[in-house]
Amino acid sequence: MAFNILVVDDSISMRAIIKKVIGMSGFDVGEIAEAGNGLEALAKLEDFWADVILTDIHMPEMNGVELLKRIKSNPMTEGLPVVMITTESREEVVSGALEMGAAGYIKKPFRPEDIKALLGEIFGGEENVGEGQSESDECDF
Amino acid sequence: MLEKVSQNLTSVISEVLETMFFVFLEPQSGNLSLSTNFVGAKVVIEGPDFGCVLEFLAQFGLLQQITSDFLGLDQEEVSLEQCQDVLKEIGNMVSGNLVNICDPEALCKLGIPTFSGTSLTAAELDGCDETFAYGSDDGILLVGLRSIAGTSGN
Repeated sequence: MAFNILVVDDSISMRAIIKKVIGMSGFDVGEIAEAGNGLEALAKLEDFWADVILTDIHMPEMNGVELLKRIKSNPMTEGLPVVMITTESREEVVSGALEMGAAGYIKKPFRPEDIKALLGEIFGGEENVGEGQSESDECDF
Repeated sequence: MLEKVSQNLTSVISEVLETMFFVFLEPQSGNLSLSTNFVGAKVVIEGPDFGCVLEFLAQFGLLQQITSDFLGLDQEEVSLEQCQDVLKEIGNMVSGNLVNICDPEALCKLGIPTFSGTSLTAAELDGCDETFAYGSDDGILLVGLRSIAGTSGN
């Protein structure tokens, strides 16, 4: 089964890198969609079936914590795993997001293995690695 | 807090640039005030009793090299917009990681990085409380710390 992923970050470069890391992770990934902030992400979810969302926290218009709150308060999307990828590691902010239902947290700067490991936890690891690449393949920016 | 920010700046810049961008810059000394051709971005950190602005100036050659390496593009394929975006992201990561160290209680609010211009000179940092310089053969990165009043007016 291929997984669809929505990447939310106001930095175009960061979205490109996250997409590249996901593409090289070996997981059976279907479509990877992008949004530049929380509002764009909610609009995207109207016509895009995401299996997981990777979102920054500090963004204009609507930040990642507000996006998480909206997703978790909507019965249609409350089960959707949301991973925070952010510079933020202050206890209050991180534990707040996790208590709100975030599926995980990756601190920037990150290594490709960090994203791969968290996707493994969400997707269930090795059994979902695509045919094109093995779990042990090198993954670099 | 400005002192804490300044004490941790060099290690945070190294961590961010080395981990995410595979860039190794050395601290620079000497008179860099005549250096030109910088691209700029800034991030505001606001707390109740303290605030500061971190101003990042990267010489275009260095920024172009960092951006092309980061995005896996040839240097001539890199656009100015991509360079600006990468500089803002560097600013975001450096400021965010500084706030994590200097403000563990999350009293301060980290602003969203803004672009401050191209073809800038080092004089942009005149009046900063402190200025730091890092460099490689490709160019120089300057970081200025400018204190501002806290949101409580203290």
